[in-house]
Parts: sequence; C-alpha cells; structure tokens
Amino acid sequence: MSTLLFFALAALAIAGALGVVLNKKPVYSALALLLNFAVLAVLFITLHAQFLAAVQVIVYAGAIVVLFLFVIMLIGDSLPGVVIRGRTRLTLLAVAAVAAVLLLAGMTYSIIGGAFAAQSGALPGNGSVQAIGAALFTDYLLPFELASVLLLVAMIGAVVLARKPQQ
Amino acid sequence: MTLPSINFLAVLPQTIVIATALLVLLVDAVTRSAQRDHQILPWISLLGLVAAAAAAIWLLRLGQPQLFQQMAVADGYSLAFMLLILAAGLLGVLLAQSVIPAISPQAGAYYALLLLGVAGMMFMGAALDLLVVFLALEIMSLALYILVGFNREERRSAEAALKYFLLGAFSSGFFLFGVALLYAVTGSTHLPTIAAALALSPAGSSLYLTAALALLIVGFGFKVALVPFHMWTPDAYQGAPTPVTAFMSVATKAAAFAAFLRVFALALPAAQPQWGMALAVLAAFTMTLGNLAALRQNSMKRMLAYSSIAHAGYALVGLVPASSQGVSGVLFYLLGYLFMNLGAFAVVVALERPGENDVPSSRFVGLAERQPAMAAAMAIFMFSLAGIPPFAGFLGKFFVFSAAIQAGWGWLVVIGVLNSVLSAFYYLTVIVQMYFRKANESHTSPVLDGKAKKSKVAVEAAAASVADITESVPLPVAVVVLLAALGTALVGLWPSPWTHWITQAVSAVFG
Repeated sequence: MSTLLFFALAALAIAGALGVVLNKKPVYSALALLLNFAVLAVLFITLHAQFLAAVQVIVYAGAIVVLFLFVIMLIGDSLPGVVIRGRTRLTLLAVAAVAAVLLLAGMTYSIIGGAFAAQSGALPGNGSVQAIGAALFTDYLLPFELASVLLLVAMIGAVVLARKPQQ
Repeated sequence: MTLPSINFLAVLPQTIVIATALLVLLVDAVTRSAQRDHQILPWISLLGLVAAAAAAIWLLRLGQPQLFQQMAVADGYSLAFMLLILAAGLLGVLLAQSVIPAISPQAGAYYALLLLGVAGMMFMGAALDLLVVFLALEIMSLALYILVGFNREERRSAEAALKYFLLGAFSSGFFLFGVALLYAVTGSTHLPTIAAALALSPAGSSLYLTAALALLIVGFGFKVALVPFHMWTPDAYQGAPTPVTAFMSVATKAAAFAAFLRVFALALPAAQPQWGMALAVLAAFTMTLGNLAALRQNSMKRMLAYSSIAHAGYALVGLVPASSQGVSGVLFYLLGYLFMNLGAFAVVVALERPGENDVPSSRFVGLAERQPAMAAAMAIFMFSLAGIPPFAGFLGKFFVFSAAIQAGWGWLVVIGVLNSVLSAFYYLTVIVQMYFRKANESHTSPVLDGKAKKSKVAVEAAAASVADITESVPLPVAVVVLLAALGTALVGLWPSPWTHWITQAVSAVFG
C-alpha cells in the first residue's frame, strides 16, 4: 500500500516538476511548482516527518510560491525577453542536461552505494511537532537562541538600509 | 521530558556583549539624536566589551572548561580567541567614534551591529557543533554586510556591501552543503562525535568526505579571504568606512580562523592526509598572489587589503600540519596581526580628510616631518607586517613556519619566506616615502589653464599643506594608533607570557 502510494506521489511530483520546466507561461510554472511542493509535503508525511511537511506547506508552498507569483504578476508574464531562443537556448539546455545527469548519477551512487551513515527518514514519532519542539528547547537551545540573534541583526540591517540617504 | 540543566557561565562573555547591544539600541531609541546624546553610545559599547573581557578572564582563571550542553564551550582556546576579538571590538569602537557621526545619523545601529557581530565572532571560536558554527558565521557576516554598506552617501560603500553580500551568501551555501555532507558521512554535527566517527573508519565513504572537506574549505576560504576565494576583499575593504575595514580585517579573520582551526584540527584530524595538501596549495597561492597584487596598488586601503590576503596565507600555513604547535602558532600570529593591521588602518583613518574614505599612498610622502609620531607608529606597523624583528609579525611567522617545518612542509615554508621578502618591498616603500622623501615633491599643483589663476593655486596649495601640518587627529584615533603600536612592540619584544598562555590554552584543547 505504502509502496503504491509512494509511486503515485512520485509520479505526481515529477509531473509537477516537468510542468515547471515545460510551461510557456510563468504563472503556470509557478502553479506547477506549487503542485510539486504539495506532493513533497505528502511524501514527508509518509516518512513520519509531519513537522517538515507542515513547514514545506507553510514556507515553500505558502510564502515562496506566493512571492514568485507576486513577482510574476508585477513584471507581467508576457515580456519579450522571457523566452530564450537560438544558440543561447541550446547552450543553456546543454548545461542543464549535464547538471541533471551529474545530479542523477550522484544520487544513484549514494542510494545504491549506501554510503550515508545518517539514516534516511525519521523514526516514527521523531518527526512530530512535539518531538521537534522538545529538541529545539532542550538540546538545541543555543542554536535556537542564536537564530533569534541572527534575526535581530537582519532586522537592524533592514532598518539601516531602508532609510533614505540624508540629501 | 526533563528540562535540561544549562550552564550559562559557558556563554557569559557573549551574553554580556549581546545585552550591551540591546542596551545600545534602547538608549539610542530613547535619547534624541539632536541633543548629541549619541556620544554616550560608544562609551556604553566600550563598557560592555570591557565587562565581557573581564568575564572571559574570570572564566580563564577558573581553569575548568565550561560546557553549554553539547553546543558551545568556554575553554582556554575559545577564551583566547574571545579576548582577541573583544580587543579588536574595543579598538573598532574607538576608531568609529569620531568617524561614524560624520557619515551616518544611525550611530545606535552601528554600535549595535558591531557588538552583535562581535558576539557572533565569539561564538565561532566557542562552537562545538557545526550548527552553532554556521549560525555564528551568519550573525557575523550579516552584521558585517550592513557595516560595510553603512555609508549611505558613498556609492562605493553600497557596491562593496552588495558584492560582499552576494559572494558571502554564496559561500555560506557552500559551507552549509559541506556540513550536510559531513553529517551524512558521520551522522553528527557535534565536532568531538565527528572526530570519533572518523577515527573509527577514516577510509570509509571517502568520496563524500572529500566533497564535504572541499565544500567546507570553500566556505571558510571565503571568510578568511584565501585565493581564489578572495575577490570580494579589495572592493569590500576599500568601499567600507575605514573604521569598519580596520575592525573586520582583523576580527573576521580571527573568528573565521578560530572556527576553521577547531573544525579541521579537532574534528577532522583523521582526514588530514586528505585536506593537508589542499590547504598547503591554497596557502602558497594566497601568499604569492596577495603579495604580487599588493605591489601594484596606489590606494593605501587596497594595498592593505591585498596584504591581509597574503597574511591569511601565512596563518593558514600553521593549520596545514594540524598539530597543537601549529594551532598555537596561528593564534600567536593572529594576536600580532590584530595590533599591526588594525594599527595600519587606524593610521589611514587618521590621515583621511573629511569626506574621504581612502588615502592615496602618495600622502605618506614626507609624513615624518609633518606628523612624526604618526609616521613612527606606521613604521612599526609596516616593519611588523613585513615580518622584520623585533616586532610581533616576525615572531608570528616564526612560530607558524617552524611548526610547518617540524611536520615536514619544508617547500611551503620556503614559499612563505620568499613571500615575506617580496612583501617587504611594498611595506618598506611606505617607510621610505615617509622618511626619505620631501613633502613638496608630491605637491604637484593641480592643472589649471591661465596664469592668472596660478598665484591663487599656489596660495591654496600652501594653505593645504599648512592644513596638513596642523591636521589634528581625533583623540580616540590617536589612542588606537598608540595602543596598536604598543601592542605590536610588546608582543614582539616580550613574547614569553603570551606564548606561555597560548600554548597552555591550545594544548589543553588539542592535546
């Protein structure tokens, strides 16, 4: 059952990914990306990583895709420069193909070779919001606090940079 | 679930610095800038930094390493780096005090960012977990991106900040990828656990390990400015307000080396055969290209930027053998470098005219006549940077190189020594200009057409040179120059207490 579910979801995820690349209109690409992210979230749930699934939906599907859509809507999706043709297109295709093959080869090697010491997927219960919250506020307290300092720095920086020069 | 027992002592100095930053922000918010109340902000910052240093010294006296769970530690090594960084912060605040009000009304943000950056840097040396290393690295970098672009009026400042930000963010990505791969190989981000896992199976899964090492080296290489990851350095150093350059050139380097040394010499010594050669080659290129580029600079800040790249190369030589001797050598090197490099930039601050953000090297011509004290200090810094005894720079190089020789890296040391000779050329040029050239040679009158204007030009030139002579250096800047010169001379002439302290601190951690 779970294997069947995995293959169905994987096919859907790949369909979404292809949709991102093959669609001519950026808005459709963004929506296909949304599909891909949502399916990934479901895959995370099947791996007992509920928290990751929620974050995937909130951060990626929610914030990032909406950001993409905003940008696309702002600049318009029918700019003449959006579609690249000719030799540039071929070069880009070649680069993308090489990168994709390399990535595929690396991942295949990793999975078949079984070289990773870290286990893949969380233990049941370890990926829940409760477990992550507990880890965050006990063992990972210092990184958590440091992240807040980091955000403070970013906030001060934004205030400094957003201010208009004096003249 | 049980609540963890937390030892806040282990992060006491950092906590003090962060609290001071918050206090600075608060005071900045409640006082009105129109009242010139802002002069209180640097003093609060200075007090906070001194308090943090006192806390660090107190922890050092305790003798017992203090652990914050498995994440951070206050041992001799991290406290030594903390004191180094706090000293850089102190001098940085003093330097900024007279310059920042002229370029920006947001003094509060400046000191707060500087302090938070210092806190991030302190965590880099104290981190025992790659997660903490990464977060500390980001805190430091983010604060510095903003500080580099702090001069909103100056185009170059913004350009430098953007360049630094883009390349820095990119390098953080490399670093994080390296951490992820290392986690994949060893199943942990905790440095001692990684060391144990690698000691058990050093040969296993070496492809991932090699990739992880390469990515980590790229990440750290950007932060300490190794060739070929140095492209941002000259632009960022030149475009940044000079007090920022002075601070970041020494503090960033110290902090990045603190983490670099701990990660590579403590967590990855088992893989030293794999990374030793790579770092040696990087060090050789960094020294050579840094010095060659520095030879051809007219701008003082650019020259010092390239020289700082070369110095990163010298310091890296100490890491190559992954021995406790090499690590103490690097620590001593960075101690000397702190004083001599910050001092050299402080002299640049002193010689800048209002509205300027750089000094052409021609302004050093005849400086010995106009400002003898400043010229003498600059001479000390240049001698020390060139590695001429009896100053700190010489001993630093000596310790680093002798550690490398003992581990059998003779060819690397030969390259290092040849580079020192090469670098002496441009450092000594500055001294020759200050002492053996007359000032009027440089005052080529501006090209103007019409003889009628000539007398006016002459008067203006005369007025300018009078202004040169009476140019008063702000007191805090003079204090920084004095302290840095004293430090450079003291560390060089009286090294035994420093070396004793450093060797003790390092051998307790690195065995």
